[in-house]
Amino acid sequence: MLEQYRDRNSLIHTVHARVKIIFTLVFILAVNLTPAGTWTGFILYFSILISIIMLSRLGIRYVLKRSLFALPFILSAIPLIFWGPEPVNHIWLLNRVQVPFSLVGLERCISITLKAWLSVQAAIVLTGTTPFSSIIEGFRQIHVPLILISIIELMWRYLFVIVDEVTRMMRARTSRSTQIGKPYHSGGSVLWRAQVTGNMAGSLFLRSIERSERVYAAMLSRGYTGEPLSVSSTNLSKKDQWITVFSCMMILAVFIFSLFTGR
Amino acid sequence: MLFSVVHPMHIPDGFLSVAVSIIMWIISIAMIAIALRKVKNELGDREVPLMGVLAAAIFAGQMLNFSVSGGTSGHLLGAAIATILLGPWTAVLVMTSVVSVQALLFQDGGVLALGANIFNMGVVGVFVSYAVFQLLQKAFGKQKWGLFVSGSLAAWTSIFIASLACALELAISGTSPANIAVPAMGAIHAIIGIGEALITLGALAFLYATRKDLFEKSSKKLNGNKGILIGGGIIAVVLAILSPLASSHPDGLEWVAEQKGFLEMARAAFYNIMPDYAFPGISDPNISTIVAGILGAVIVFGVAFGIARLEKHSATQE
Repeated sequence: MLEQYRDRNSLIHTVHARVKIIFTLVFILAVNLTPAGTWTGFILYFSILISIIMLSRLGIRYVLKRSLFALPFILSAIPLIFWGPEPVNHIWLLNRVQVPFSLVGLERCISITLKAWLSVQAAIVLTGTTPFSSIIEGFRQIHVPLILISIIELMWRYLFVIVDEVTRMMRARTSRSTQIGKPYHSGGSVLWRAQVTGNMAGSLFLRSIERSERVYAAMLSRGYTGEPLSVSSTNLSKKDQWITVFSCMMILAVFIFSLFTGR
Repeated sequence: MLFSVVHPMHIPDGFLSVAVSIIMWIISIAMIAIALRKVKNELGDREVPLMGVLAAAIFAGQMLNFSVSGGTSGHLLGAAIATILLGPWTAVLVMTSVVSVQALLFQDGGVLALGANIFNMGVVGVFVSYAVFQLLQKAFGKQKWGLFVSGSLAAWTSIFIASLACALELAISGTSPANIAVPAMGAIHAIIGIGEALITLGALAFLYATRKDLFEKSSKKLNGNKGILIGGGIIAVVLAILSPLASSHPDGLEWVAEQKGFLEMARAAFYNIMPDYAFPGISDPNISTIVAGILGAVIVFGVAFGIARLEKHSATQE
C-alpha cells in the first residue's frame, strides 16, 4: 500500500527512467516559469499531461484523486485575493461588509493553484509509471552522490518493515489505552497521551538503532566494504533519446508560446 | 490511509518562484556536500546502514500521533531527535533523505520546491536544534533534567524557526503577503511545536531510561561543531528578527519586484526575436493569440493521437 508504482503495460512504462525524470523536471520547471494568467498556456500543458496520463493507463481518476493532496496548501495563496498587489478595490458584500479585492491577486492565486496541480500530476505520473528502484537508478546516472543514494535505498528497503512496526505499535496502543470506549476512563490527559506517544517514538528509534546494527553486521558478513556497489547502467536507446528530445521540445514550444500570450 | 497526514511545512510546487527555488536548491546542495564530506571523514562505514534505517524510522515515526481535541493531533517531524541522537551532520543527511523520499514518492512537497523543503527541515531544523540543545546543555550542566529540557526546547524552536523560513520563502515568492504568512505560519507552528516538544521529551526520557549509553556516544559527535552552533544561532536570531520586520513592511520585500523585472526582460527578449506576436501575418494580437492557441492544442492532440495509434499498432503486434 506504500508503493506508488502501478504495474501496467503501457508505452510510458517502457520508457527509460532517466527520460521520465528529465521530462518531469523540464515540465515542472516550465510550468513554474510560465507567467501568471497565461490561461492558454496552462490549457496546453494540461492537454499534454492528459495525453500522457491516458497513454500511461494509470487511470485519470487515480491521478486526479492523488493530485488533491497538494490542495490544502492553497490556503497560503488565498490572502492574495484580498490583500494582493495593487490596484486593490473594495467590494460591498450584501451592502454591509466592505471586502478588499485585487484582480491581479486573484489571477496569481488561480495561477499558483494551477501550477501546483499540474506539477503534482506530473510527479504522480513519474512515480506511478516507474518502479522506485528505477527512479533511484536514474538518479544514480545523473550523478547524485552515492552515499545519499545508498541511504535512500536502505531507507526504502526498511521503510515497509518499520511502517508495519509503527502500525502494530499504534494498534497496541489503541487497544490498551488511548481509545477505550465511553463508559471507561479513556487514557488520561493530553500530557499523558503525549508522553505515551513520545515513549513509543523512543522505543521505535531504539529498535531501529538496534536493527541497523544487525543490518550492518549482515552486510559486513556478505562482503560490504563501505563502498556502495555501483550497478552497471543501461544506456538510452535511440527511441528513448528521440522521446527525450521530442517531448522537451514540445514543452519548450508551449512555454515560449505562453510567454507571448501571457500578460 | 496512513499517509494522509498533511504536513503544513512541505511546500508543493507552484508556490515558490523559480528564482527562490533555485537559490534554495543551491544552498541545500552546498550544505549536503559539506555534510557528506564531514560524515565520510569522521565516521565509519557503519553509519550508512544506521542513517538508512533511522531515516525510515523518522519517516514512519511521523505517523505516530496523539489526539489533542477536536480532531487535531500532535505529531513528530523528528529533526531535533535525529540531531540529538546522531549528531548534526548525520542528521542533515537523514532529514534530507526523509524529505526527498516524501517528495519523490508521495508527492508530499514539490520537486522544484524540494531544495527549499530540505533547507527548512533538514538544514534550519537541524542547525537550530543543535544550537539550542548545545547552548542549554552547557547552561544546565550534566543534569538529567537538563537533557530533557534542552531537548524539548530544541524541538519546539526548530519547528518554529523552520516555519518562519518557510513563510519568508512564500512571501519572497509573492505567494503570500508577509504580513499574513509570517504570523499565520508562526502561530500554527508555535502550537505544532508543542506536540513535537512533548513527543521528543517522551522519546528522550524513554531512551535515557533504557539506553543511557546512546547519549554518551552521541555527545562526542555533538561536541565541537562550532560552525553549526554559530550557524544555527544566527539562523534562529536572524529569522526571529527578520520575520516580524518583513511582516510589518510587506512591501519591503523588493525581491519580488526584481524577479518580475527579470521575467519582463526575458519576455522582452522573446518579443524582440519574434516581433508582433507569434503570427506576423495577422495584425490583431487577440486573433493571433487565439489562432496560436488553437494551433498549439491541435498539434498537441495530434501528437497524442499519433502516439496512441502507434501504441495500438505495437500492442496488436504483440
